[in-house]
This record gives sequence, C-alpha cells and structure tokens, in this order.
Amino acid sequence: MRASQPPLQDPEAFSQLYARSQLIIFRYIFGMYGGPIEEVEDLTCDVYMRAWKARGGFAGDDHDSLCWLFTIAHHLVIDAHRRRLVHPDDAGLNLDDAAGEWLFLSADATPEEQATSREQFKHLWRVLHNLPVDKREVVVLRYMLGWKVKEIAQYLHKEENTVSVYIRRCLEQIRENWTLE
Amino acid sequence: MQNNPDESLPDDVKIEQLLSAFKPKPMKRLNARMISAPWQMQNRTRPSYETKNWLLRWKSAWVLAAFILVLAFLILVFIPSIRVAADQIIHFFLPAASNRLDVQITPANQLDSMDFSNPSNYPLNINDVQQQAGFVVKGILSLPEGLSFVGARYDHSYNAVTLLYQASDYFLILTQRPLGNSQDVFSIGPNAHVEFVNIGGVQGEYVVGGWNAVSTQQPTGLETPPGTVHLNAVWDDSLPQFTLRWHLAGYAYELRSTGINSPSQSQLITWANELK
Repeated sequence: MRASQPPLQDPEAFSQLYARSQLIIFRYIFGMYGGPIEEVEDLTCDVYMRAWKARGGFAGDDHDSLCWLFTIAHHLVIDAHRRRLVHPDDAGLNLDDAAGEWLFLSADATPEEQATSREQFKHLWRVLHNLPVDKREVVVLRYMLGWKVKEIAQYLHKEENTVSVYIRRCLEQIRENWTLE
Repeated sequence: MQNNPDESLPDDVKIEQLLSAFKPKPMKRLNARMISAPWQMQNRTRPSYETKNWLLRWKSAWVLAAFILVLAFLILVFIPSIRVAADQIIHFFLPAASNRLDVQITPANQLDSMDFSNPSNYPLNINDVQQQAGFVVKGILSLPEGLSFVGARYDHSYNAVTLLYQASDYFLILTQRPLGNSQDVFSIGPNAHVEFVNIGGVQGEYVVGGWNAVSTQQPTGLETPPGTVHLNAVWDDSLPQFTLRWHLAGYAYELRSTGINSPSQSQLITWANELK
C-alpha cells in the first residue's frame, strides 16, 4: 500500500481519493450488489457523499481511506439488499448482453467458446449472488478486484491461511450450487 | 431464476477465470453526476497546485523585473559613462509639462533668452565662441547658394553654442552642447508630434511647430527685479518652425529652421550629416 495521504478534509485530497478509488468502489458494489448498473452507480455516488460528510472523523493513510470507503460501501449494499428483499426484483441479476462486453475473453477463443463463456458467466453471476454476503465479498475482492490474499486478510483482520481456506470453500460452494440454480 | 444454460460444470480454474475477466466500468452518467460533487465544486473555487505554482512564478518574475529596473536606474544615475551612453541611445525630446509656457525674463538675460532669430544676438565668430564654450564647435560644411553664416553666441545657462544662418526667406539655427546636466535650448510642447529619423546612423527626432507668444507683460518698474518681462506662450503645431534633434558622441545638437520657405526635412538631415 502507498504512503499516507493528506487529510481528507481538504477537497483536493478528497478529489484525489475519488479519482483513485472510484473504479474499485464501483466494481466492488457491482460485485456485491449485482446490478442493474444504474443502481450500482447510485450506490457509488452515495458512498462518496457519505464519506464526504463524515470525512472530519476520518484519520488514516491511503490504505485506511480505501478500507473506510469499502466499509461504507458494504453497509450501503447491505441496506440496498434489504430493500430488494422487501421489493423483490432480480432484474439486476439477469445481466444483459452488455455484460458480455465487460468480459475480457481470450482473443484466441472461438465465437462458440466466447458465447459459452458468456452464458456460463451469467449463470455464475446468479450463483454468486446467492452466496452469503461475507463469502461473496471475499470472492469479489479476490477475483473481481484482484486483491492478494494478504490484502484481503489485512482488510478483514484475519489470518492469510484462514482467508485462503475461506476462498477455497467459496469456490466449492459455487460449484455445489451450480446445478441447483 | 433460470435453469443452467450450460450443461458442463466449470472447474475452479474456469470459475476463477470468469470472475477475473469481469471488469465492469461505470457509464459516463456517473462522472457527469460527480462533476457537481461538493469536493469538486470547492476545488474549482480554489487555486490548484498548478495555479499556485504559476502565481508564484508570476510574482517571482515581477520581483525580478522590478529588481532589474531598479538596478538599471541606479547604474544610469551613478555611473556617468553609462548615463552618457544611454543618453545617446535613448535620446528624445523632453517635452514641457504643459502646452502653455510662462517665461519670466529679467533684464540681465533678456537678450540671451529671447529672439534667436535676431542677427544682432550673434556677435561671435566660430573661433571666439569655441574659446568661450571650451569645446569644438561644428558647423554646416557646405552652404548652399543664398544661405550664409551670420554669427555665433554662447549661452552660459545652457552651456550651449548657437550658430545662426540666414537665407532670404528663412533662418537656420544650430545649437550644440555637451551632454550632461545642461538642458535643451529649445523645448517642445507635450502634445507635439515627434517623428523619428536617422541621422548618421543614430536616431534623431523631427518636430514641426513652436512656442507662440500670446501675451507679453511689459515692465512697469514695479517688478522684482525691475524691468522683468512676463511672457506667456502656447505650443503651436502650425508655426513654420522645423526642428531636428539628435545626440552624437557626447553632444546634443539641434538644427532648427524658421520661415515658411524653410528647407525640407531631408535637406535638414543632409546638413546634419555633414556637420564638421
């Protein structure tokens, strides 16, 4: 992680934090919440607006500021999930064809292979969002955000081995649930 | 929920690959919304680091420029040789403060100050005036037919020598003085039109017009000192006076012709180039 940043009280420092983290936060929310993209963008905005209002109570370095944003995003996603449970609408989980464009598939893959991968991903997306929130978060951090096990362990305040085992169990559960969906 | 569209169950590696390959990006709408975010708005009202840096450089440049100006001024004031050189390079007419000139003439210098066109005010020849002035006096080398040398005079107050030439319908007055603390013999009005000309490789100035006396208060015997004359004059561009002025080799020269049929500007420049 990088060295400490200037206090977030300064708009310029906050602006830099936004520029540095907005894509990561967006992907985190997308992975955790599932979509649709408009709601993910709304949640992303809410994260930064809350952080802006609460910045006076924040103290920490670059890594801490990112973790702080993840915590805010996590709570917002939980709240949004609760609202979704009250008003069920799984439209967000049915990724449209545009989702295929976000998949960086191998250029060597044939059109058939690419189509198969897209369909597999759509199914995987539904399976992923039936995982408990804590498991989903680990998968999102590890694969969608590309964090190392060490970084996830630091963020979750757990041992690296524990995180590794947890990730392995998440993948097993995904495979187990694959045919159930 | 839909049924599994793919019959084959992916292994862990495939699942990892699919998840790792998913890199969604926000649409432009998000950035458009964030433009009006409070931290962005406040940032816009504050100078950025680049702006601050630019302001600092700008201030430094002004301070440096001011320092150079002060230094140049001090050099010009305290180093006479540079002052003379600068005076030769940047020679210009020093205009009077006003288009109206109030002159007080005392009996002692009445003749000295007045009427440069009166031949009786030029009693000296070249050798005599050189002796009085203490510097080499130059004159027009070859006089055209009809133009003759009348005489010379030396004015202590200006440290200047003036030569008078006369033709049938105009006068030609040549003044010369060492550069230094002396003042110009002929001043010009602040609104006079100055034309820059080349004289012997240096820049000179050419001005048309002169001071026109509008009132003269004759002595009544009650003035202090007695006999003082008050003269009021205004600058008049239409007066048939044509003045060429330049600085060369530490001397200031003025060549003025008066009269409706005065020589042309080019003729004055030719004579100025041929001074010997």
